[in-house]
Amino acid sequence: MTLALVIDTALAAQSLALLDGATVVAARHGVIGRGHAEALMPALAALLDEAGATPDRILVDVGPGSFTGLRIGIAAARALGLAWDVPVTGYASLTLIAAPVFAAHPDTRLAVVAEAGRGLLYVQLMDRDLVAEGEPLALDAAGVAAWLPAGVALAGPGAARVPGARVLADAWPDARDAHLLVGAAALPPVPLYISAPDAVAA
Amino acid sequence: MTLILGIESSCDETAVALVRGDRSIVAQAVASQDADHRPFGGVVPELAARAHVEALTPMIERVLRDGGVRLADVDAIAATAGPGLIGGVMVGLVTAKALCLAAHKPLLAVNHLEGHALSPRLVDAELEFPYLLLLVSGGHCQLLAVEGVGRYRRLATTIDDAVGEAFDKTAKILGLGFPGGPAVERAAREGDARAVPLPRPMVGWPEPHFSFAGLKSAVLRAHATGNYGIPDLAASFQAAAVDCLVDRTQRALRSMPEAKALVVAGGVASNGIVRTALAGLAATHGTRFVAPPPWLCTDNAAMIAWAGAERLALGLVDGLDAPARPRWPLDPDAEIARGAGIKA
Repeated sequence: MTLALVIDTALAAQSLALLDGATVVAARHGVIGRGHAEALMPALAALLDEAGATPDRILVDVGPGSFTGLRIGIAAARALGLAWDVPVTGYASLTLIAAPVFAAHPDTRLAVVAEAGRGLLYVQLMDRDLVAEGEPLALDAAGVAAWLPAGVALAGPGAARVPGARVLADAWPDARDAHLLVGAAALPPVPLYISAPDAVAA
Repeated sequence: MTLILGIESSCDETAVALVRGDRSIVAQAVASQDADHRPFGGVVPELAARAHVEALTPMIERVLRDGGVRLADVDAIAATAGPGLIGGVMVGLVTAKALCLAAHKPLLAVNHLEGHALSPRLVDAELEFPYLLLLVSGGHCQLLAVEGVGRYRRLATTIDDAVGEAFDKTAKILGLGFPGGPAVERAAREGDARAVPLPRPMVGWPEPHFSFAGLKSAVLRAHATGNYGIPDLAASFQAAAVDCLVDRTQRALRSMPEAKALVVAGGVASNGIVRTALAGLAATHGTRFVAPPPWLCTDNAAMIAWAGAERLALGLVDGLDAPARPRWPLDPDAEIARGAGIKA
């Protein structure tokens, strides 16, 4: 058995899973908003206790998402990888949102959204092989509606805010779905920030 | 012998150190982000947090390798849990927690100011409690009675700017660049400290506190007259700031006759003129003077590991739910000083 630890703190959900292939050995999933820094490690400790085994690899959500949430998940994943001497790879938040939607609706043309804060949504077109088209954008709900190509459905947290869109799912990314990421790009464990820091040169 | 891994990430330095309970430093590394922040004339919190998450884990691996140590050999892991820029603090603290969880080690969530406060004991085994500490940096300007590990009584703080902030702002006014402390000190070497008449805020006042905002404004006005050269302005500012530090420290020394030493720590303590003036004050007062070497005055992880070692020896370990704290006064019972910033 190969045990994968999945850490997803990119958005408002704190989602953790230990997967043996598609089998969920242990999991924690809750929408906590803020507070990942305090809540993550006790939850991970409980998860590992429940499984009673050390993971062979670590998967972590590298974004797009909350900058702070990304850093917490990635810092934790990298440190655990160092301590256990196991590989750490990243996946994009929007692919984990898309994966279960395609599992249920394989022939859909899909754009995936996620709350980006400040009223904005990250949005990106994705095909059924979880290959994204172009870079993720950060737009307001009306902007997503204007951008959305005809015949393309929406999925992801915040999708319901987009006027006129056909919404297939609006759940937060769930670590238990990570086994569906087979074929999705394995990314380095560094944050995908999308936007530059708000700072102006003196 | 106890071995502590220390992590510091509360401002613009990423740092990792391995320190033993016998005060030996097994290995350490500090990566400054000065170049990242220089274009902005100050530390940009989001940039700092981004740099910490990139740099920290590879640095831990390197320091363990340099020290010839495996994580399993470490007795505990200490990380700065505040006060500071919260994005960076969270990166360091979460990293430490994850290492503790995976390697089954106790966590020491260290107050960055306690790191500075106890740092002189890392290099001076003879330094005993209680001592008077002048803690001077870009974010802090305080006089503390250090009575023991975890036991601090704040005697004075700044009612406006920290002294290091005044150095940084003066450097900005004079076009000397960032970080300002070393730049002002360098420029001042060529200048006449008596050339520019500048105020000494709070000097001689019965209140114990510091104030530097008026001094900074006076530098701005003097510079605007066009009558003074940059070296003279830098030297005069530095002399005025040092006079303020000495006067306030002298007042505190008189109020703490039990002090076994006068100690200075924090980034501004690496300034040669500040050290010389305080050494003179201590000599006049017949008190021992202890100033850590300049590398230990600026932010580093050896002081965090050492504070961790002191706390571990007393059994003061923390849980994996330890919070990251943007504000965390060393003396939570201290009265709020007139106008004092919330950091104090």
